[in-house]
Amino acid sequence: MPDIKELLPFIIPLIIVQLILLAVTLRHIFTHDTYKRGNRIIWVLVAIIGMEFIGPILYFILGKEDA
Amino acid sequence: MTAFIKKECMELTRTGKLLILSIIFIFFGILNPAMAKLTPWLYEMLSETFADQGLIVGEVTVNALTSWTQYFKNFSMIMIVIVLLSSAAFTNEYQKGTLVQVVTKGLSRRKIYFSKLLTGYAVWTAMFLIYTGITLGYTVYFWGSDGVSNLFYAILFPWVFGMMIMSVLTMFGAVAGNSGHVLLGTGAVFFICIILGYVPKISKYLPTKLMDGLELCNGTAEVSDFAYALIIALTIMVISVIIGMVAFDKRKL
Repeated sequence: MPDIKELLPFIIPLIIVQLILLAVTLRHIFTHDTYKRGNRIIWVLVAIIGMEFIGPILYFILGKEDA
Repeated sequence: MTAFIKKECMELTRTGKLLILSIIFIFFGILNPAMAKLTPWLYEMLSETFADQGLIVGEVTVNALTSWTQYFKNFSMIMIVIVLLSSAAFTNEYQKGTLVQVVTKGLSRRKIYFSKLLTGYAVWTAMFLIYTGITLGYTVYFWGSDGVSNLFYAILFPWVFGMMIMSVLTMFGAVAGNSGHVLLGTGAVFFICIILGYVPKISKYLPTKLMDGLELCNGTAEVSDFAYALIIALTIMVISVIIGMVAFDKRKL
């Protein structure tokens, strides 16, 4: 494994992007009452547990209601 | 027309498409140099397996070219992502019937078509800049730009290819009934190019040649080798824009 310090320039931006995505997703979940499927608790859990990109993307593809 | 472009942009942000796209592209942009950085370590991990098979891993050198190799490898991936996410631009509106109102209110069909086309171009250009910019930044920071030649053309040509794909996509959007057809049509164009590319004689005329920027970077190809492919790509672009425009004038909304 290379020195962790060498990888920090890659990891830090990824973490920042991921947190932004999580924040946007949670805001979207809490400002909408109905979803295509599932309910609020499920989507909050999915977004937080799968917070390494996959949870929020799942929410936007599967859970968000069409306008 | 500006109003309709504004509407398109609003749709992109409100549906979260822009957000998802930029995050995927940022991710891929970071991935390229990160993979290059991890390459020696990956080889080290695999060296025991290799040793069993009689392969001996020597010193692995990583330089700017390693990172650019990843960049061009992932390029077809990001093309697929952008095609998937923008394929529904027209067909969503057909299905909801939302274009009928604006047309009956007097907005010309040409304006709708060109707003969609321009928004498509803008999204592709923005995403391309994110992807390229991040890889470029990291690569120059870690390895400088030694040994990389013709970098400007090497990244300009894939961009032209993307613009061509967006034009073809918009054309199929104007013609097709649902987003499945759009994907099928665009995918067909893409894969026919790739399959034809295996025939050595015609491969230099095909637009997919434009994605081989790596050859430019490592100096095995000249910029002039790409001239035919560039001309063909631009021709396809213009033709598909015109066909799409005419077809959209006539279609039932």
